Amino acid sequence: MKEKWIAAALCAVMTVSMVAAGGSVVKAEGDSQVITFYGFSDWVDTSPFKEAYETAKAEFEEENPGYTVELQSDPWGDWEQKYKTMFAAGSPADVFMVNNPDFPAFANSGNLLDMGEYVEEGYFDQFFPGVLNMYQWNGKNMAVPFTTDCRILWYNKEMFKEAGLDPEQPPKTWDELVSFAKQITEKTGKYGFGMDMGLKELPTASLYCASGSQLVNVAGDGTITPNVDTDEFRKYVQTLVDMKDTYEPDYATLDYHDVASQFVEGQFGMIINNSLMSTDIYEKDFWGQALIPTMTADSETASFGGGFGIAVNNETKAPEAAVKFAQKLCSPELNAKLVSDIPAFQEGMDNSDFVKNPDYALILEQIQYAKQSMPKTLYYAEIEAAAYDTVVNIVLGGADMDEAIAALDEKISSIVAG
Amino acid sequence: MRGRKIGLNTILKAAVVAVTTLIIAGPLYWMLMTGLKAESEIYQVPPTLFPAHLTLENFTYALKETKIPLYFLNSVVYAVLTLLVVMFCVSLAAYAISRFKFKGKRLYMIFILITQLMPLTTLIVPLYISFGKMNLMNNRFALVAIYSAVQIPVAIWLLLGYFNGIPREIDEAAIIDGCTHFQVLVKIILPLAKPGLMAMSLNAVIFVWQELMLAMTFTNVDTLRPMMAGISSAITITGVKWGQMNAVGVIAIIPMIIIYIFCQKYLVEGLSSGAVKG
Amino acid sequence: MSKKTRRALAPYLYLVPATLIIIVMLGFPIIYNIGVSTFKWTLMSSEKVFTGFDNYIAILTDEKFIKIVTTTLVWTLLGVVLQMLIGIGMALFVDKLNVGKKFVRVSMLIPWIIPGVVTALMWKWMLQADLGIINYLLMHLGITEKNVLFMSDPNIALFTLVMVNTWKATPFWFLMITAGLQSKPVDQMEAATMDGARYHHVVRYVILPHLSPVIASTGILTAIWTLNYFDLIWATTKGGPMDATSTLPVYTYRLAFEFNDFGRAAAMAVISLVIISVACIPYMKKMFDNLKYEGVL
Repeated sequence: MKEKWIAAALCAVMTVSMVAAGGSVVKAEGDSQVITFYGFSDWVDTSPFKEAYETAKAEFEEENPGYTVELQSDPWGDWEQKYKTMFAAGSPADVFMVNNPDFPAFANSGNLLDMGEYVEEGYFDQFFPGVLNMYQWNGKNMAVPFTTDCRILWYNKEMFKEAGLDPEQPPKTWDELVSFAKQITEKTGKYGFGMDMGLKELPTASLYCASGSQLVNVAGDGTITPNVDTDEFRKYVQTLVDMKDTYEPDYATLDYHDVASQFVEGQFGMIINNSLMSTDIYEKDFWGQALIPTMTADSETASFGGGFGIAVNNETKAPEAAVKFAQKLCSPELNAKLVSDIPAFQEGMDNSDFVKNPDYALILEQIQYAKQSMPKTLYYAEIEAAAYDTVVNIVLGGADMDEAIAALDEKISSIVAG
Repeated sequence: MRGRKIGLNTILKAAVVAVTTLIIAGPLYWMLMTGLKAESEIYQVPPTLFPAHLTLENFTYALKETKIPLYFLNSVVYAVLTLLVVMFCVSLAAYAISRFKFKGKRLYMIFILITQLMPLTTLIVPLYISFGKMNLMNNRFALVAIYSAVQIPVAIWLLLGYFNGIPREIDEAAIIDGCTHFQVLVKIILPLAKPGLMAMSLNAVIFVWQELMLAMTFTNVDTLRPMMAGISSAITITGVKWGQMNAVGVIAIIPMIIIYIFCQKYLVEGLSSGAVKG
Repeated sequence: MSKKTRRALAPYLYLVPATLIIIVMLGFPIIYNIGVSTFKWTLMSSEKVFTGFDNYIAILTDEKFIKIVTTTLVWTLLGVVLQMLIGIGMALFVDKLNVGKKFVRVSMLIPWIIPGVVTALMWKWMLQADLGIINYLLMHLGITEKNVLFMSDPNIALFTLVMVNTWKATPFWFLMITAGLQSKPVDQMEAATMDGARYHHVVRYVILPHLSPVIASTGILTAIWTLNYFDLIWATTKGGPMDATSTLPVYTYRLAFEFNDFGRAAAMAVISLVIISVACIPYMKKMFDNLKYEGVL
């Protein structure tokens, strides 16, 4: 008897609510057109950035009557999966943050709007060329660079002193890096180098970038050939192997966040990491910064850089307005306030804290040399995963370097064969 | 002689209880302690067994600054609604399978099992497509519906076992007395299957309470998000905020523990009717 | 409608609510997955091209595939057996307990209640080399000399995770068996004891047979859950180190969201389904035999 009443009540409640709520909880306001923006809530929904997004929305709506912006976001942990799901399901947002490594896949799929057709002449000239290049596909600008970042070498001056090293002379080459790390571990008993092999990216990719080489070569007609049987790649892996004794035992499952936190607590002699803005490192005074060590004494430094772009969905119903909102987010006054990284153009950067604070001077110097371990191709993720596996096999598993590199060469060939 | 035997037995029993409690409570204790530490202390080597500086900042942040109270309420709603739907559908279905003879029973049971076999992660994209087509995004009841759909096969499976354990003679006695099938189900079978109902309910509620992936994928607005969103937001672009996450984790468990203590009574209440013994 | 027709239709009517919800919510996604596994569908192109069994061939000829399957089997078998043994053991133990029954019952359930994500991250933290409390305690108590690399040593990472999963999943077995014990045939047990049987005989010949249906059904359920369990592995090792902990669901996820190949991920899901179904067949047979014996089927 009880069951029957519960069932009936349930049906009634469900029917009424479903009718009342309709499908979506969020409704369009009046008859203005809604432009959806999707990013991750660490910026979009968290102070102090949140207010800047609200400002961007307000300003845009004022300048473009008839359009409203809907800001959607999810926490970083869910964001990546979700925006790929939205794309795969064919219902992405109008304007969205796109992660650097995913850009080629999205661009090639035809899901992104060619923004060049909607912006003023020369709009893209203001962005740093290296970064702008990351968001171009087949010669077209498919996203606006939103942020860029890079890695630098951080070191613990106290530990340097303890180990008998000059705290004002950080390592400049890979050989120095290895010997310094070993000396620190010997003399202080702590870990000379903070290795993070847990994130499935090429470990300490910055070092490899600083060799000037790249994992694959892309010919003019688009053919991709592996480029790992090189002195640079071998020396890079060898460096990682040589430094093995200076790593924390758990290095195979640490990611660069863990390593950063431990460096801040004084556990590591040196790490290669980003600006560490989110930690309280700047309140301490044991740290020093340096450019990424190079393979030989006279090569130019380089660093692994990534960042995010802002792209527009190709099927959006309001392309001009969507592009305008994307531009609003990358405008000089607002860009720096919206992100915790560095804007990808001079004017934007000038408005950010990075320029005003001497602590960031080295980062700004390094960022000019930001690049990636290989040019952007469709197979970026797979090639990176194969390279990661190879490096881990050699460093952690003790595989023979020649064999492993030959295998990687073959693997890359088979990946790009499709 | 007898006295000594009891002594050894008791000690062994106590040892087992102690070890079990340690294994279970250890991580829980660690969770609580981490929630009470400041973020910097969490990274200290060697780790401190008890916070050097006890701080409530993680908990106060969780309760005041974030939308966790709202998320909490949402989780309660989802759990209760899902439970009602599941209990209704499953009681009927399990009764039919257990008590009626009909064609296709074996097929139905296999069908039920197959829906369980694909990992949820593989269904996310197709689900997103179908939700989109049915215009169910950001809809509270859609979430309850998908949760129910996922839980129903399990619940039928579980409840079936208990129903089967109740002898058919009781049914027959009641029918002879003039009861309809439905009345038999409601007045006789369900009360006798209380432990099974409790187990099934607990399973369903715990599942909904902990569910993260579906909830985050199909809701875009805070007014619909469950408790787990509070945990998810501790995984940030700059790393995991351990203090915050553990504090939210502790907050999330407390109601579950209370519910379980309450359910415990029914779980243990066996077959009360004397007619079933033997 | 004649009474006879109504009586014949009744069982089906009882099944309608459950079946309706399942089909509406899960029907399309599952069939879509099966269908789309025969297409080439990646994030790289917005077209889906029919390629027949290409995805399947690619997966089955991948050198990693065998390793993934064996890892999954080890993970599942070891996990379920441990959960079962400890769950049944503890349930029997608590059943015979005179003091503290309620306390142990409540405690046993706690690991199950803690949200999966929190559990995973918490254990990852506790099992770390330098920062982890477990290594600290082990060394402090003199049990080990160096840090044990619970999650970074390819040889033990899988077993570590099996233990963590067992910690979390055993309460379910405990719950099921405890509920099942509530209807244990006390008369038979008394009779057996009076005939001179010791406790372990009673367990073996009276209690366990009585629990047999519960064990079978819980066994199938937990086997499926364990095999498909994703959260724990992803939050701790992401399938590493060196693919030591890559199970089917983990690899499927990577196919979809790391390599952006949704067609292949769907094919993987179907392969998963086939493997689990095949593994379940003997249990299903046993279950159906049991049910036949009970007159249900």
